[in-house]
Amino acid sequence: MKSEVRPAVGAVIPSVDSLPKAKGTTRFIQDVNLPGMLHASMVYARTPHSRIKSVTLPKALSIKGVVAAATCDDVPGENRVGLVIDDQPLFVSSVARYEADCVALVGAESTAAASLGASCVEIALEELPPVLTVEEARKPDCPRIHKDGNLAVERKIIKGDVSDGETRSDFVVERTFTTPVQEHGYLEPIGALAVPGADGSIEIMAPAQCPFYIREAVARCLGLPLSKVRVIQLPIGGAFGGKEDVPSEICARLAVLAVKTGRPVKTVLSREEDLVYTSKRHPMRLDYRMGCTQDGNLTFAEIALYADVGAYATLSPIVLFRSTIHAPGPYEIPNVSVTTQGFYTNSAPKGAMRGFGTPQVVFACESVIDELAEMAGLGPIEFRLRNALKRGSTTATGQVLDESVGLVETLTRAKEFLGDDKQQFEPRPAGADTVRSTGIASMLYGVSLGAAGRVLDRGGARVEILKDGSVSVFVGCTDMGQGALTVLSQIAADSLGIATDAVRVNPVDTGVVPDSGPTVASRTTIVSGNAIIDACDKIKTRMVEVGASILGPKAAYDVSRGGIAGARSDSGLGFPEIVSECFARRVDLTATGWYVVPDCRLDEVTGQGKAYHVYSFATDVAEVEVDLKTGRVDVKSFLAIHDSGKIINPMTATSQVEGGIAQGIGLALYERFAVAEGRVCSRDFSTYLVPTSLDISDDLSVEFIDCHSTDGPFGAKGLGEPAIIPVAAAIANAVSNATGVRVEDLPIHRERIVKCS
Amino acid sequence: MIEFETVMAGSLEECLEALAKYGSDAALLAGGTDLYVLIETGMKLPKAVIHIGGVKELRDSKVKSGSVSIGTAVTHSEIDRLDVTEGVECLRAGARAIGSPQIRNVGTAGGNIANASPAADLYPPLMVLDAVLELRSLRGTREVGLEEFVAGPGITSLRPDELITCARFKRPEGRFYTGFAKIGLRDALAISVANAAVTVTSRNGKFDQVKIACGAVAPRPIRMKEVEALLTGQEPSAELIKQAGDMTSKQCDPITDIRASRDYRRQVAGVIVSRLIENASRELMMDGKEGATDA
Amino acid sequence: MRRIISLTVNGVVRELAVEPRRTLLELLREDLGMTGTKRGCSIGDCGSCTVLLDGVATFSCLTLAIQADGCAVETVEGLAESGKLNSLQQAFVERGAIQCGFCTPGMLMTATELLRCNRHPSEQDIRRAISGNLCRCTGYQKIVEAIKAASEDTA
Repeated sequence: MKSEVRPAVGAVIPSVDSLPKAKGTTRFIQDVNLPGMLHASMVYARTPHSRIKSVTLPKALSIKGVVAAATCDDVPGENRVGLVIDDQPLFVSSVARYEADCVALVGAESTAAASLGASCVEIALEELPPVLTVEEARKPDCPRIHKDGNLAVERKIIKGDVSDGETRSDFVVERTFTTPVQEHGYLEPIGALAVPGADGSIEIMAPAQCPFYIREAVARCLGLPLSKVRVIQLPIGGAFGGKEDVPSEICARLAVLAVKTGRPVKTVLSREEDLVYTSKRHPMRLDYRMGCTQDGNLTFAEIALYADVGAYATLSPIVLFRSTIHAPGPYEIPNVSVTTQGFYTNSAPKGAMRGFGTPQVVFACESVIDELAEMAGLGPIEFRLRNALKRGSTTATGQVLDESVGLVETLTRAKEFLGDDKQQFEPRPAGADTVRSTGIASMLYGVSLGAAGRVLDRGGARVEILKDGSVSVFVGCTDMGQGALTVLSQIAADSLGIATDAVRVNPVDTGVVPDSGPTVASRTTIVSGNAIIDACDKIKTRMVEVGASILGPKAAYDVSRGGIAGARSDSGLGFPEIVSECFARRVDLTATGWYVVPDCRLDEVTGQGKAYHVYSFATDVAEVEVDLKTGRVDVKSFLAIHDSGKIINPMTATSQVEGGIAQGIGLALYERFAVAEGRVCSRDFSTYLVPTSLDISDDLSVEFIDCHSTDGPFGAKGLGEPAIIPVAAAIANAVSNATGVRVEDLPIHRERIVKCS
Repeated sequence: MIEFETVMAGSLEECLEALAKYGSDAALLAGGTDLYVLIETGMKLPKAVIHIGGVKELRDSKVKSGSVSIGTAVTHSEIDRLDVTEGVECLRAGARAIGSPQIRNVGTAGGNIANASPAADLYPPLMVLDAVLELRSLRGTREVGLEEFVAGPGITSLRPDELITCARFKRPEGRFYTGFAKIGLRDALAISVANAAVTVTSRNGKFDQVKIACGAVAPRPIRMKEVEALLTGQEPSAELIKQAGDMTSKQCDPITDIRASRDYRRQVAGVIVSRLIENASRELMMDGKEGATDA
Repeated sequence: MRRIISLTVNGVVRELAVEPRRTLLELLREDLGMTGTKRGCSIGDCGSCTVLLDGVATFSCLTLAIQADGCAVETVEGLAESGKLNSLQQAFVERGAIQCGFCTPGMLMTATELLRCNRHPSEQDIRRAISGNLCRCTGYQKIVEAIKAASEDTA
């Protein structure tokens, strides 16, 4: 029998899809063209709030090359795309609620004709007073953006008695923070392609995080059964949550025009359209009050969050659920009250962005924690350690954490790294006008969808062993650059005991794999990974039956070598042999695996219960240099220490975290999405600044604490979102420590530093 | 549909002829880094685009009797590495501060100057070098100083049939300090929120000739004449340098825009000027005992 | 009015009639079907469309095709030699410098120019050279490491 196969899980394996990407042969949506294909351009309201009186097409249709246009009148099914709350039309029929609310779609023989055609669609409208801020939207006499009012989402946690906690407090900190809109800034603009089938079916190709969302949206708008809509995921040029909800709308519009014309219809947004039209991170106002005893034990947290959800709710109910749960931080606090409200405004919908409502609350919470630590005379690490969630701790929702809680280890490592828990956090003069200091921030992150997404929190995988011993895998979650295909290949390889390069994990095809929910919430490794393991187990059982008929009843699957081991150590069937044997006996070597995330439920009134099945943890350490005269902040070094359970691929994991740090630096220091009077001013990458290679510290370190999770595949938890979550908070704390003035607003404003120093 | 004619000029003559023919309907194309964006966004709709990238004499740079001339089609990357700019650090640093490497590889001196952005990074260096522009048309040649040339954002005294052929300045002689500093919101691909350049000489432990110019702090880049006068003939001191910064701030009349507020621009313009002056005093008058630092 | 231009693309001479307003990016992607060069912003803010024009890293989205008349253009498709990754591409793959891959073609071209001009770039040289190429996935760290590794490889 052949020797042991080197385990793939835990090994550094280059991304399986990186070779064509290095050659430039990967075909993104902008590179895909079909014969007879129309190019489409969306037509926007171009005013923040208006009543649409008429949409007139003849002028647009008279443009040379323009073939057809679609409006709400052309939608065969329902003209709606609301994801959680049914508040969004596919094409605006009466009221346009933001600048880029889509009124029509123009299809033409070329992109130039399509955009010229789109600009010639005549919209007669009556401008309505726009509601631009949450402060306005909250007022009772404010105009209503939707018929039920401007309050879109409300969430709550009530644990213990906050006023009781306050009476037992020796120190109380009360502070209001704000966080900005953040744009995903993926480099590949969104696009999609709809191909009508001869039998009334339709096929969609799109760089989409959530092909199953698209399938539902298209079926609903076309009035088709789900079985007649097939969605094939194309390579995704970055997403970060931005290709979660938005592609559904775009695909459904393309589908309407494709059905109307009988031709394939594609669109790729310009950068300007992408910036103005697509969803963003929720800006928030965060009112925090927290207290502790003289000994530094947290006594209470009373938190109110106000989020701007934009024109439509899309994913806001789920994002703000996550904000609510994570608002009190990774600490044991006996008395907690969190109330979260999300309000409609006349701006682009706020949806999913990496961290999903968490970076905002972690920034506020970790700032307050630092202040309490100082009042209690403790170092920031000591204070956090004293209150940190541990195995057996009870969270703010009353959930007892029974396993895989690595927060203390991350904090202990941070302390070891800094060598000191007080001096490091003092300001240290660096030059005539510059000062340095360090800041830390910790977080917890509930992996996968949790109680709010309970029904969707399952996933499938189809594994097929081919007769040459190679393995074809289909999963329901997508790779958007984060390395899912690679990690899932490694999991499949180790489940079967074969080499990773014998496994091919395919991009999502909804025609092949069962609905696995969205690719979000750092859930792919767990959900698709476990589904692959389940499928492999089913196949292995069949192989063992065949093996037992040859080797005797003691035959068992040997994952260390791949194949069947007999009772004696020298007897056995290698993987190729058992595969041929199965084929010879006409045994089915395909299986669909299924994984259901353990149930999570919360009480609707108190928000008490099990919020998420398992949590990842992290502590980040930032060292900054602040120029007090110009307000410039330079991140000198950054250390991220993560507990994401077993790390399946250390290289792709490290790269994920490094990317998260960069986006977090962007959120902390650079990214300001400017809007004036309801119109976006940041319409390109010279007015929305994402960090360049010179704006990221050249001293980034990433470390992992391997805190095994029983339920995760090979002990893994989620990592993609935790990567960004504590970054801005750590930088803000470092800047506060350097300047002596608490940072209350992100991005950290140079002008404020200058004014305060 | 965007339509225009193109003239691929092979010589300066052809350039000037085309300019004479099309006048204000013409747009000059050298690097194209700004022109194409203006055309694409409909901000500029020329009837003819005259490509001057192939005109050899416009790509020349030379020194003649102490006078350096930089051809209009010389790229920012070239400015940063040409022999003729050696030691003229303010100009090199200004060129290096523009856009990104790809922009600097094709963007040209003439483009930066003719665009006349208040934030253009080549203006302050050229102003403190007392550069003059050579403007040519079929009607003749004239020379104008930069301050005379630029009147406001995008507004210059360039006539429709004229072409900037080169920028010319005298190499500072003897011992001098020259520096450039910029505040942008990122370290690359950033438009200046404020920029400044200085050239300074000293005599007997005192500032002698001081030239200071700032950008992005007024409708056009400006010389800080009062600050120059304040410093000239004075012995450097922390107090004096602070005063120079404060006076710079006062002389600025910037706008608030998407990048920064008026107050912030004024503040940081003063800061970078005082830092440059401090560097100058350290380098010139302390016999290099301490190394110069970037502002 | 169309104009006939002639250029070499990855060593192959191409002669085409182009509209004056056509960009080099459009010429490559649409006229020549070479889609390796990416369109990320169209106005020189992101670097995804970087190609080498006579050896110099250039935004093809801001370059009119007529400006490339008589020039040598190099794109990502020309890097691999008979289907085999060159050492720079190999380093990108092995060092984890590629996540979504959208910035990769432009990043590789910028790095190619750097390594031709400077065979032993420092980390700071590398960061400066790629400062016109945005990457939103990696935080640049693995890209810098890959370019450094490739430079040591060719030493």
